[in-house]
Amino acid sequence: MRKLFTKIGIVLALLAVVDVLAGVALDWLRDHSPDGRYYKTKYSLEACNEDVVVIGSSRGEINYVSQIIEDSLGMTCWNASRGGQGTPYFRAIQEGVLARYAPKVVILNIDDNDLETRPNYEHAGVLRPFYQSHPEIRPILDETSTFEWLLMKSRLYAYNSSYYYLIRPYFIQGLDGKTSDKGWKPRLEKMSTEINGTLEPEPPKVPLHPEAVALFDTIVSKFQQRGTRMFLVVSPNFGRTVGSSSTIEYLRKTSRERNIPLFVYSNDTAFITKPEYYVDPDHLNVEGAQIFTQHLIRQIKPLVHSNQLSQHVDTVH
Amino acid sequence: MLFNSIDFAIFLPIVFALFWTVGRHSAKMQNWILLVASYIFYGFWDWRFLGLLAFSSAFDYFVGAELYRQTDKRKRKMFFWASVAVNLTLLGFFKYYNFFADSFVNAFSFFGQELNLGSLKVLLPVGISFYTFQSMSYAFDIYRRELEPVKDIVPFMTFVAFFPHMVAGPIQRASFFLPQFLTHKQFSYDLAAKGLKIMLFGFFMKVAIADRLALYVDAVYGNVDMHNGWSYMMATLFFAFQIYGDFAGYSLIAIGCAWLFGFHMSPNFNRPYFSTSFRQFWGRWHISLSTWFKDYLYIPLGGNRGTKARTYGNLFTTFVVSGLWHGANWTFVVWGAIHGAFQILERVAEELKFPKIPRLLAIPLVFAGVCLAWVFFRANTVQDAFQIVGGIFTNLQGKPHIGDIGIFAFSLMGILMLFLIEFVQEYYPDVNLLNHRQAPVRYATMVAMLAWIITLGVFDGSQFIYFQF
Repeated sequence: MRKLFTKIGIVLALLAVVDVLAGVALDWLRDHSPDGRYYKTKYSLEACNEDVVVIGSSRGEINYVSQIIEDSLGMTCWNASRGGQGTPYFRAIQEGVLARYAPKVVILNIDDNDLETRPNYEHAGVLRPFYQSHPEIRPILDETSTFEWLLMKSRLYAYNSSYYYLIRPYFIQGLDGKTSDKGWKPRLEKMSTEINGTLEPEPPKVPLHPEAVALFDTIVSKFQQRGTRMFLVVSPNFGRTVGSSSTIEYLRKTSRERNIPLFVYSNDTAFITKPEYYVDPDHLNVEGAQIFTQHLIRQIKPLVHSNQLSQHVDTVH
Repeated sequence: MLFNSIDFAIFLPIVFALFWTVGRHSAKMQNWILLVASYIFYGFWDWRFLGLLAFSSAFDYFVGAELYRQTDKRKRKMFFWASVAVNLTLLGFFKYYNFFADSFVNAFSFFGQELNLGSLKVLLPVGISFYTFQSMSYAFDIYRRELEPVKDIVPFMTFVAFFPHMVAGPIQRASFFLPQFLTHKQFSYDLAAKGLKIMLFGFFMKVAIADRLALYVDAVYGNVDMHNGWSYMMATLFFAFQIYGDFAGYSLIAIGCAWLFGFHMSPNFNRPYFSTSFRQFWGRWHISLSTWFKDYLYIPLGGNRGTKARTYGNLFTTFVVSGLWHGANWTFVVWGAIHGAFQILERVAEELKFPKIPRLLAIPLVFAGVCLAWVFFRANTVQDAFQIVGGIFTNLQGKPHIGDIGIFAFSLMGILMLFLIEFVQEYYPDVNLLNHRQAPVRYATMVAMLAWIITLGVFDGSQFIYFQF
């Protein structure tokens, strides 16, 4: 039996060596990425010091043009959004940002059903490569599993499934937006579908998920405690109108109670009926993103330095 | 408790240590340790069904004793059928009540009649399909006078509940496996080392290959209307390797785990996708189940001893029942029927002396036929399955769904790696890196495999596919 444990020990020791060496190499790749997802995440956590920060999922990443926000508001802007992410990722980015400074403005894009399902901590696993270097994000990532803290001792595990997006920018740049786009991911394609005259009806209401709501409340509270002026936005989708989901109703309640301007575009016919603005039913193309951002910023601008709630909460035309 | 979980990583070393220290003096102590450990293992799934497991085991133990004791033919038959009835009733109720009730109601409504049988929220005890079959094989083998009953109930209950294989096989015959619980185990370094290596390969197949493929398969099969024939083809191909990696991986982990405790289990897979006929496929896929059905259903039905029509009927019935065993859904019944049809067609082709298909053509043809059947196995409904099959042949406009390129690329890498390994095992069996005579090669292989698992494995605790059976 001693021989068995000795051999197991040798294998584990060799694995530990490989793990450490691989970790050094992978960390180097992460830290020197010319652009792409890891460049953007690293910037959000470590270097972002812009006045305005946009936080959201792929809708946040694609629909909000940082340059337009900068030019209109006369403030610097970084789009810290990331595709496929939700409130756990937003919380983690929040912690990374607030560990260094408090933005003057945060534009938080919330999808029309974001608060109706359990927060997806597993998706926030894209932040694993930053676990060791950013203690502030560990409590969020530890929610993934009971023994996540133990698994995170491994550098190979930290980079689990990330190789494609880690290595891609070294060969093809700009696929997630150029560095000069300041986090925005422009989508040049146009959707070909023509609306057939009727919008999809409002989906049935689904109850709020308490954990999702709690996470959202924490995000809002923490920014407000640091004096950040917040704006909540629900992006438009093509071909369907959503004006009163449980999530949107909760956002309205939050807007009233916490004096946060809310802009609901998910039932705005100026956007949801225009296929030429979209790359797919959920995301705006470059033209659509520019128009949307300009429209949003025109409304945000007078409120940036004011404590007044916006006069029109729902932008239905 | 899943094999690919931290809970099991803690559980196994504890049981291993207790077995070889506290249990080192007697087979009785070893059995008690394994029995308690197995019930704890099962209790992690659902402690409410521990009683059912105990009842099923105890019932067949006492039936076995009576079957051996009785000399009267009628009474022996009575006890035999009692074992069949009780085990199949348990299986039928917990696994099939809602399926048959819903099917019955749907059949009535087809004729315009409304029927309300009420549906019970019957939970499916994990592993019931496996441990009832294992337990029944004990009664069957005693009835056939192929096995003597054990005098002590503890080894028998341990044989049924033995945690490495209890929830998803391989199903072990009592005549082969039960005697091993009557002998005192001595620690063997070679067996334990071999066991760990086999487990490592099993985890590689499950965590790094099967679970990664599942991400793509679930995206397509879960949204059938959103995809075209190319995506269906890709997802079906991926599923063929997903289910193989998942189930063969689990079997390897179970077998390797058993070796850690000095138990030998019969193999369950033998590179099935290199089969040159459907008959050969079922000699290489889920071997423990196919031999169980052959010995306890096909042969008692008459096997191939009667007319050709009778033989074909027996074959078809066996495969349909096997399909139903896999799950309470018509998709599994159709899957079984397709394989039954393949078996019959092959026999007819032999009868008519069709020319033998060259191996290089036969392997992909059999693989294609198996994949066609997998569509029904994986689809949520028969309707979806037909839509997928139809789409593969008629809906080939557009591009295949790729989804996340990273996931897709790693899925392809996984299939390639698995194919490469199996190709070498099939045609160059002497090449065995895990057991290479040079220690650096062995260590490098183990470390590489572990690194691959950690780097590309899916760690969200996804269940083995066959746990649902």
